[in-house]
Amino acid sequence: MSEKYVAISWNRQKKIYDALLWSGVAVYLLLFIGLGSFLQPNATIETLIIRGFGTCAILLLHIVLIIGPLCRISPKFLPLLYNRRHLGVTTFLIGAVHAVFSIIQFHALGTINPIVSILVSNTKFNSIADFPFQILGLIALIILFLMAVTSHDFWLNNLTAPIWKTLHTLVYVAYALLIGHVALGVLQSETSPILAILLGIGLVLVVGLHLISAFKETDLDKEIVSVDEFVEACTVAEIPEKRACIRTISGERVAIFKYDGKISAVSNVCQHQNGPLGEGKIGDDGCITCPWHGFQYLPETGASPPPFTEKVPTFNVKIEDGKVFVKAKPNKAGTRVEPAKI
Amino acid sequence: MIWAEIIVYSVFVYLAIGVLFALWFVVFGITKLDDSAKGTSIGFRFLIFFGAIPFWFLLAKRLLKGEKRPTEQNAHRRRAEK
Repeated sequence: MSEKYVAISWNRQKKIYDALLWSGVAVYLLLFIGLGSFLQPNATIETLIIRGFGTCAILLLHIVLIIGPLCRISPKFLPLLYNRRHLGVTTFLIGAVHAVFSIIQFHALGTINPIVSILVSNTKFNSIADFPFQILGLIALIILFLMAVTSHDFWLNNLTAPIWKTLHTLVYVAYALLIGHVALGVLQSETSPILAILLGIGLVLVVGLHLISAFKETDLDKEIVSVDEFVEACTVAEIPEKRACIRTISGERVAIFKYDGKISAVSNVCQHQNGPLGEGKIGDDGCITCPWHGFQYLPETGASPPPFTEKVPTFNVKIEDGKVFVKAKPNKAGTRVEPAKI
Repeated sequence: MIWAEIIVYSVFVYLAIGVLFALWFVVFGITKLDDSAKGTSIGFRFLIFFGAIPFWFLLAKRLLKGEKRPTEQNAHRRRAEK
């Protein structure tokens, strides 16, 4: 949570996440390069490094991309989301190693600048077999670089949210470019279909999970008529204890929480990265905890507990005949609202 | 090849300016932009350094305009302000 920035706010969960991530990467690379040198004795170590790091990076990018929709499909996957930014930075670093070795191997021995060489050494844009696929990889790496260096919360706060979000949505452009990079690059000379099949499975997973999660959330975005009066949102019985029912009111989702015999409603949008507060729960400390990165808010005020300063809008609520009514006009962020007694 | 050289060397010049700006920014400028950066560690500023290189132009623009850290708007925040 904000107050004073730290480089990385380590906790036990993040340490376990990173330990698993980096040991997984190390095992993959050791296995790939070790088995590769045994199965392909003619391949140089540079070639094995290029292939190993390249396949590792694209595998990690698939994981990065499927975590979001998986979490929307089932909250069981939320622990994967918690430290996704480290996964993204690792993806860039692994991709950068692949790029550096590729540039040294294929572009550093001539008389022209290696980056210029990538752009001009092959200009057969109308050929599939000889397409200049390295340019696609270069553009994708630049996008991943820009995302990696702006992954700290400082950048979300200071680049302004529209720029930061646009920048990070470019991951899908990077993914499309990398699919092209692989399909028009290594797959053109590959005799075995295994890599093409794996890439196809990955593509279907990424696209399929995004479609399923979008379909699942369609109902949540059905707007309840938004006048300034109270609108019927749900029944008390529908809301699980210490959790929320989500409804769209006044153009955005509202999280209606039930706890300790009371009902409170806050805007569903966490001030940090727009995490879905309504998918979080109220803990023993009485705070709503955002499931994405652990930011906390008091349900009565929509404000983070001191010394933190985040605030979300609150809503007036009332209960009649077991039904929960929410006033459509939100209160200013951090405004205290008396909870409705059940 | 000339077009490629112009693009690549223009980017190099932009990034070279970015490196100089980023060095100044992480030591002095960052606290003018965001109060939460006051008293932060070398490790934090080291991480910010790399982002300040490509985004030096946007940061410089915000500093020159005297802008502070904004709060993101959404439908609820806008309607609550009415």
